[in-house]
Amino acid sequence: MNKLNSKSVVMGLMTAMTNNQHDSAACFVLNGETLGCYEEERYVRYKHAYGHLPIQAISAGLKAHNLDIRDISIVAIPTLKHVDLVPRTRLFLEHYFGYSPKIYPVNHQVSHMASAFFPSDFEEAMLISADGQGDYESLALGVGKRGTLQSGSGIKVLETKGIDQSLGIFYQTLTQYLGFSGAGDEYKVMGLSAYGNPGAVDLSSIIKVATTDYLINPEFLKRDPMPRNIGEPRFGSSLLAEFGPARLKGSPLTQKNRDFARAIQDNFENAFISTVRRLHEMTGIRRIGLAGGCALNCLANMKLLDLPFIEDVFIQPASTDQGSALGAALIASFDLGIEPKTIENYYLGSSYTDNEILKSLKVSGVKYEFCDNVAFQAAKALQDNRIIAVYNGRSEFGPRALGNRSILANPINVNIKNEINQKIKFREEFRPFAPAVLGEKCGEIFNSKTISKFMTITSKVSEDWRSKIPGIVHVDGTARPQAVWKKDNESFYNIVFEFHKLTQVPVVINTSFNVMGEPIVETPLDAIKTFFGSGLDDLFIGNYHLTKNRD
Amino acid sequence: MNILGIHGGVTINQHDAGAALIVDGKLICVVEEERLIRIKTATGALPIESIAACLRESGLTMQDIDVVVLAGETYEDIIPRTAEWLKHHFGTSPRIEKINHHTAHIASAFYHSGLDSAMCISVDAYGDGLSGAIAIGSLQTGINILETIPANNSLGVFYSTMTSFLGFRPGEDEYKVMGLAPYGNPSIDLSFFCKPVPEGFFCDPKFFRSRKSATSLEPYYSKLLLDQLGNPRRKGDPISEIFKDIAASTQLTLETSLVSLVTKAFKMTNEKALCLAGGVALNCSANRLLYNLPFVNELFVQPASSDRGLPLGCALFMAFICGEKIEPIPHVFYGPSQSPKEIESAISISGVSATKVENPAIEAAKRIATGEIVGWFQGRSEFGPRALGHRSILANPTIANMKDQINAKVKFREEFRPFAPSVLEEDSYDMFEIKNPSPYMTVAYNVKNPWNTIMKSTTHVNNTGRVQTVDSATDPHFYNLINEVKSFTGCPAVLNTSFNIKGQPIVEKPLEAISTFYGTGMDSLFIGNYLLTKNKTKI
Repeated sequence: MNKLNSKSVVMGLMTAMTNNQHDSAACFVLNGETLGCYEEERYVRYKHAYGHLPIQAISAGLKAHNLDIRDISIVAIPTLKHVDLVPRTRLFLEHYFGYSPKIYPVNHQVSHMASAFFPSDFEEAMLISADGQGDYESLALGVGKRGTLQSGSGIKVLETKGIDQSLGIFYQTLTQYLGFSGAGDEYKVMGLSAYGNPGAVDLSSIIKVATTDYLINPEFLKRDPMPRNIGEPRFGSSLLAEFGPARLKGSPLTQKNRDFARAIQDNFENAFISTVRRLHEMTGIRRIGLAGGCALNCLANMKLLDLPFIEDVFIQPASTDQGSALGAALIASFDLGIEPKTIENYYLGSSYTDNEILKSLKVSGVKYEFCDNVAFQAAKALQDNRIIAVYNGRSEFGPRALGNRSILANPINVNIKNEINQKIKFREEFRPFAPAVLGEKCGEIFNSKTISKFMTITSKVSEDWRSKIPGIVHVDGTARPQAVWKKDNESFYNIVFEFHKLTQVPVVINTSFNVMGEPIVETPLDAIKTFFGSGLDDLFIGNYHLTKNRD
Repeated sequence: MNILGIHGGVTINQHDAGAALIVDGKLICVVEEERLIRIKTATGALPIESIAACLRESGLTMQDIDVVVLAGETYEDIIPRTAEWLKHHFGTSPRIEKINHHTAHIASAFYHSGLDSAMCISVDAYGDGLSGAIAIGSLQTGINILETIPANNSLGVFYSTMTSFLGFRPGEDEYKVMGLAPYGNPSIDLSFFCKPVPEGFFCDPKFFRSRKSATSLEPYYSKLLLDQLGNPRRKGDPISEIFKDIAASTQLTLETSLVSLVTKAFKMTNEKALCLAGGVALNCSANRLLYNLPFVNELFVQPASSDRGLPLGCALFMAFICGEKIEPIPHVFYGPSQSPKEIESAISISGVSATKVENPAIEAAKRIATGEIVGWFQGRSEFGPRALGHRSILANPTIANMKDQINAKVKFREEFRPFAPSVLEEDSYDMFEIKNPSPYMTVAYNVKNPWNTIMKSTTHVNNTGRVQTVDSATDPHFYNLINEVKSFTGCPAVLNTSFNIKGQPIVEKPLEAISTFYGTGMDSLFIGNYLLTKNKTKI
């Protein structure tokens, strides 16, 4: 491959060219530096953007970085084996942008691994990619090493598993069995598992876990005729014969359902840990990077961090397929001779100027006021138990809102979870909300080797803090914190800082700025719309404040 | 007998999922999945929420359903797969019957029309390996398919391919090509691609790409079309004269081909009433020509003529087969009911202030007359793509720049596209070249002098309007509103556009109406008996 010239940029694309593909995205990497990552779902307002080409994501990136499509030297796609995607990608780029750069296919699992390594600050790490399926594989184990441009190794794959051993499909299929959606409801099962009794349900007919490996019996996870739609159940009569009828969506959750959720989670964790153990035995390395949809399982991630032979864990925050676009771009950059750099923050999406915000406020015609002390006003509102939304700067890449498109609330308030659920999120009561915590205070509040900046790892809340912040402590005493540092996001840090000053609690509830079923808000008008279409009390958007008078 | 018609999700590229429920011959509920899952066209989705809504509306459970009917007789595994997901989502699966895609389209038009007999035509891109069908419909003998058109000869695909070539989204943006057509001259000869022939029409499949695995966002045209017509227009580029001419030529080709097909159907059936369905029947400009054909004395176009209408067609077809007496379907307001409590709850959740008004029609009319853009959310939602006064954004059509105002503040759409008027039925005959009521906005009629200059914001450049005629018996509430507007402005019409933001489905629930109201530059919102305004909002 030719070396990059100084203006040329690698663009990674998750193209989602079939309706079963999701999370289409466009990522831009210049000389190893990740400039921006744009998710199509935010622009088309359709969660996961199933079957949507990343047209608006590409446009957003080109515009944000002042690029022309001809400045792109290579388009990397995280798919190696679906050969028709190369000409199809070329055709749609020509159709929408008038030109197609060279298309560079990268193995799907390798793309995930790259996204879990190069963005981390590890010099060397074990890497695991685990998802439902991609390029006919569901799991890949490998090693990443910096400074290997000469040898050309970068990321080395040691082992892969096929689709019939997919931990992602295992979890997804049983999620469907429990009456949740197979299109992304796995986190509900994870939340529910804390209410179940360990060992109450035996899943050994489906999965057997040994010390360093696992074996799935795929017979339980498939059916004839094969489902072709994400709404169809994957499982067939064998699973029903073994475990009885599936739970109907919407029917009350029984203890047996909870125990089943616990068994899914426990077996998943054990299988994952056994895999990590094997990889550690192969490599002796004590740091690990994870990506692929399974890496969203923040509870399993906590268990990894607890392993004695693990020193540190990095989870790619955009670990589902939007992140594979990033990984493919990083691989292409490496293959072009430029080692990708660490990514400090995931505020990698679009931003909107104060003028654009003001224009949207004027279009809507709502009342607003200029606010020159947002941090204090926001903290004060939180202290008053108002549920607020903050909108600032570039949007987050990946499923978590990290303070730029966030709904915030007071974790001291015992009822806050119910209030947020009843007025805004309308979601299941068993699911916890996550905290954002001043970085320097994390050690006091959590028992953990490290606290993620990206809400990717669950941590135990220390005993004496649990009763002080009931709004964020799950039934099992855990929470999924975000460590907030001033250098990463000053305006968000200042809100938590002011709240700490007012309440002596350096923690706020942080949940994504959206209503159920919708993607995180993208534009200022999306934010205004969602503010009024929900029970939010205040909106801080740039330097403007919108508030509702509650009688 | 309880009959559930469904559509969607059988293949991942299927769009317009939905469900319709007929109980003892009476239509109870029809709703599109997109309204409930809030994803336009709901491509690839199973109609789970719409089925649930139909069941809720009727108080029935899946166990009470006697038969489920779907369109797609050529899909071999469709019945066992459907049975499995019905069981998964609803606990049980009734008997399932599959019928032909075009039979379902034709049934949706004929049994909805109220006609005793008619020539019936279905024309779309493709379904069950066919792009269309001609049938004779009779309330005595049902639907008799006389001829089918194979999928590789497809008027729908021709138009979608040209839509794609013109830089719009095929399968969705065809109406933009239709709206653009009057700005150009039909000077480009497209007969190499598609033309009328004595047997109907002929479209050469080598000018479009195989749609087998592709998504609707990928280009539809083949390289051979570019050899003929040059470079396609890129999305977002200005629309130069040549592209306007291509749009005009595309529309003309469609119209002459359709006229040829209808002429043939008339010769086969000798029926003077015409029922139309299938996605191509959304082309209200072409429908005007068909309406004006000398041998056509009545035209009924299924309001949900694209695949949105399939669930209804399936259920109607089965109701007739089973000997049910099909009750008249006088309107399209068959969405899930909203109780006043739901409206109050939505207002309370949002925390905005709302005023209860005695007579929303009068208050709204006043505001419309003075130039406000008004959200109008009343009763059960419409099925089909058109808002017809239950989920509508309304404005005064006599204000010259109203179109631009709505585009700039609410719809953010292309300026060349017209808005449609809703008009008192009794006045419509003076205002349009129209002989019968047209309650569903399915035909664009010529506007008569001087109304074409009075209704500046709803008269298209070619002097037509896609009018909805409103009568006092079917929808007294909306009728009153227009009547009040008439008393203020002297013009018995409102501009009526769907209550949604570009790219999103029409609002279904009160909270969606409130959020869309604030997410756009609408001035006031009437939701049931409540009025929301922006300057009165206590914020």
